[in-house]
Amino acid sequence: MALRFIRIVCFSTSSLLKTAARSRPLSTSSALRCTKTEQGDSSPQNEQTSEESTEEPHMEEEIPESEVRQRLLDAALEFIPSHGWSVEALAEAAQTEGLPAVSHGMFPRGGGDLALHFVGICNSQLTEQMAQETEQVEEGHVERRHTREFLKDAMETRLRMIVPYVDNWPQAMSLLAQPNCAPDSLKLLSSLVDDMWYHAGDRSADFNWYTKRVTLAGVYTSAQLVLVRDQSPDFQDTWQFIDSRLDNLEQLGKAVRGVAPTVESLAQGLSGAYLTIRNITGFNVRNR
Amino acid sequence: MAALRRVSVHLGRVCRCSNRIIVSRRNLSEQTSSDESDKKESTERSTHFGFESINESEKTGKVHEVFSNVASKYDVMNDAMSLGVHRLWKDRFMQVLDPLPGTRLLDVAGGTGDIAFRFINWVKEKEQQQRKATPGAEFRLNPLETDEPASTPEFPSAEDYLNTEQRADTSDTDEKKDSKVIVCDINQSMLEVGKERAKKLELEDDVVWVTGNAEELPFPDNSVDAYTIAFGIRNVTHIDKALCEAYRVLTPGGRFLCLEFSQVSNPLISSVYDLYSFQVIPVLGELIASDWKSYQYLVESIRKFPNQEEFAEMIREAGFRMVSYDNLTSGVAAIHSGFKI
Repeated sequence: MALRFIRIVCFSTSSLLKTAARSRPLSTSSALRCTKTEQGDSSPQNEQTSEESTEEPHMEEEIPESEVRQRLLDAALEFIPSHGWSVEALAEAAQTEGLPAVSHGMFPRGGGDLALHFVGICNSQLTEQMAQETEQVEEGHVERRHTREFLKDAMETRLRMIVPYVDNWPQAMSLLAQPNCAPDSLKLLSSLVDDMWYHAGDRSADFNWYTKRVTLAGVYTSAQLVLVRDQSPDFQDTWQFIDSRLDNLEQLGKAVRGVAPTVESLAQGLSGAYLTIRNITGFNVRNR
Repeated sequence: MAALRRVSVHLGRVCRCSNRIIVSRRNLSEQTSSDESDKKESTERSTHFGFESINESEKTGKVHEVFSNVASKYDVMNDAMSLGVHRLWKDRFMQVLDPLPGTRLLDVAGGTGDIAFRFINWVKEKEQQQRKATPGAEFRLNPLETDEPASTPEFPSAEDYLNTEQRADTSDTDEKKDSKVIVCDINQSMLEVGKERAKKLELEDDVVWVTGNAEELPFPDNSVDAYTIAFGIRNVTHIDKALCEAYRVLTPGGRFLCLEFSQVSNPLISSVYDLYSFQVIPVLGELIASDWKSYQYLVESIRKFPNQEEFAEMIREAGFRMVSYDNLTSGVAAIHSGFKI
């Protein structure tokens, strides 16, 4: 829990730092790097001293590559409604940052990279919210909610983040399903459901861990599909769909637990029958 | 010598082309003599011309001679030697660049115009797609179309061509920036062949042909969005200078893209490739272009060119970032990409 708190603090400070640095346009990152001083026939010693003096204060630090990518992806989000999840959106974003349209080449998967970035941001936001709630529960300010209610709420929150882009979300889904993006997309989905279950209170250490996450991932994916076709006011159909699916999950869990004694007795019965038959036929019995 | 190495490591991201001592560091290491005090600028530095060793000052001239000899048969030979695969490589190259309308491209060592023509067709295709998507928008397909009557058929100079329109922010207007392509080559014969092809393809108004040396480009700083060089950089005497020039002419955020022969790592494919290169290609050269030596130079220069990782490191040293490469045909060719950011 302390670790999660530290994570939140780090996340917020890093985002604060980013906003501080954001004032500098991306195009200045390369401005002073290639020095074109007239050097002539200088000897090694002169080279060395002139080199030390070229570490001037006016030589700005270059913006890290990851930050360049982050900024471009963030800027591209506003062009998605008009250009879709595509390199055109990335190119428009590059132009607002003062870079040429060819900079979209920084993202070899084009629209797929943009979709992955968006999914990553949404997942982080959701995790942050859930972590805050968990922290409050642990500190005793709030009561822990029922698992089913928590999951329903988490799913709704997460799906509402897609709503601004719901018109071309099918394009994003198809991009995420392509082989160059599918592994990363699957990773994001699995970490999403893992976080949801963890903050819902799941601490299982047996095969349940897997079944819970797989089934929740199934619910989430199908809810996404319902969301993009949903025409009801405020997407009520989608939230009801999630309700029903979570009901199914609960029933499935109960059914599995209910069946266990029957399965055990069935297994005992079968092994008994086998032994009886073996004894009667004398097959594979060693005479001592 | 140790002091030189310290300085060169310390320079980090600084472009090395202006620092002559650093340029000479690479050539010094090629010389086997350990007599350091004599190796000043007065002695001629040697470089490779295929497997032969010649003086640096001669290399440019010899390369010029090679391409003057092969210019007329260049495209035919490309098809024969690579069995047409070079077309796929160049198509892939353009796919990787994926230029949008409004891009200014400088194609260096682009002699016969393969990349330039692909660029024009790609951009025209994109504009058509955009037009279908947004029926109300207006586009100018012909980049050199102006409101003034075309009185003289001469082309504007390269600098004028690059600066003909305001490069100010047009994002709030409906006017799209025009795409431009300039082909720069050191060899006039190759450019002439390119011009002829442009006429046949009816693309002569869309390309500007400029003679120039990749090590000293006749263009202003920060003037092009994309710099491409396809199968040309291995012929340059000082590759690091060419890379520095690329860095200089690119606008911040601009892309450097290089298509070049590279090393095949798979030993099985490598043995077949070597056999083909040294036994078949010079023979083809003799049969089709009556020029054994030029094609011998070609295959030898491919072997002398640094491998994928080393070349990527050279690109980083010139100041480019986000440097990556893609192998084509298991490493026979590779596309290296870098950004000035």
